[in-house]
Amino acid sequence: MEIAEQPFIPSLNEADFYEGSEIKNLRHDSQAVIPDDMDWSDETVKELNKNIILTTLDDAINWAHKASLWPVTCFTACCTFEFIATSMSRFDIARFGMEVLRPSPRQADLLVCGGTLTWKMAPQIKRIYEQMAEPKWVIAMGACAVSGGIFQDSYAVVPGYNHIIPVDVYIPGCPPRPETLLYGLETLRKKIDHDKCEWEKKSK
Amino acid sequence: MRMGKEIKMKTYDALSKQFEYVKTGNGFAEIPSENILECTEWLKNEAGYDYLEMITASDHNEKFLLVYTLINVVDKTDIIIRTSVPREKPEIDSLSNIWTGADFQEREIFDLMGIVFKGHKNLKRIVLWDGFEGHPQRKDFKDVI
Repeated sequence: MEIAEQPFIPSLNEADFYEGSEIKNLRHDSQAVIPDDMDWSDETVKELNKNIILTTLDDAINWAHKASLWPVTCFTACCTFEFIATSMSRFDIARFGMEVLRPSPRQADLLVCGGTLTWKMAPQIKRIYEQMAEPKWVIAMGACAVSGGIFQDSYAVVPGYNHIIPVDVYIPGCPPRPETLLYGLETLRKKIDHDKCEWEKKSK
Repeated sequence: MRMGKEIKMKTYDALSKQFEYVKTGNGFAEIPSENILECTEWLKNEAGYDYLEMITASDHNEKFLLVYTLINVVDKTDIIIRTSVPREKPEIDSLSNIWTGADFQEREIFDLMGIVFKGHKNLKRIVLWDGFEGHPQRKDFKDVI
């Protein structure tokens, strides 16, 4: 009869170096940008209206998705405060169905990336994104999330969230005003309008 | 916190009387790096400057400059002590056995500037991840991916 092996419990130093090598590998692998979903703007959307035929079932499901997007609280830096201001009573996001901010990613649809991302935090954001269930969307909010902002050349900053996770909507600004954030949410809702209901959705 | 200029001047004078190697002027006291422990212990125990506010470092090409700020909470004054360590052998005594608040500050200086603090119990990286190569705030740092 085999005696079970002792579980591997690393000391504190070993755990730190293991985490450090994970960050290093992620940094090495994420030098290229993940390409965006489709190249679409208002003009392409009008063309798409002619090419894609959506059934009533698609319309109903898309309405259900876009009218109740639940964001996950994943806020790294200062753009968070503009999101908080948007969620308060003057610029309300509860009228879009988004007042439910879930702390757990398993119960959320939307990842609003507000703030600068550092390489040290990047594996955790990737883990949060991978824990969300399909269908899920990502909004990159602010200059630091779109392209690294003023910290683009830094040794510690990821130059844009799209090196780590695929992004649907980019919102520029430093920080973007609440009206800009609401315009970005409206753009995302227009994008969700063109989703087809596929039984096997290809994973991103 | 920044009031009491007379008390500050009196402290600088008392410091230069107590130890011969102190040079005062321009609002700070300059001491050689071997005597930092002796000097700060005297300031803490005898002169009442028992609150270490901050330790920082900067890179001048032949040497690193270290700046310590100590505050006297009763008299509401602060004094500034500067030392410099040579670039080839950047070592200095650690203040973390006297002030526990110096622990994290010295780890950050080690992480970003590469100055080794002797006698520090846990000198490893705190801001950047373990396994990062180099000390980024030096003037000649080159990023290697």
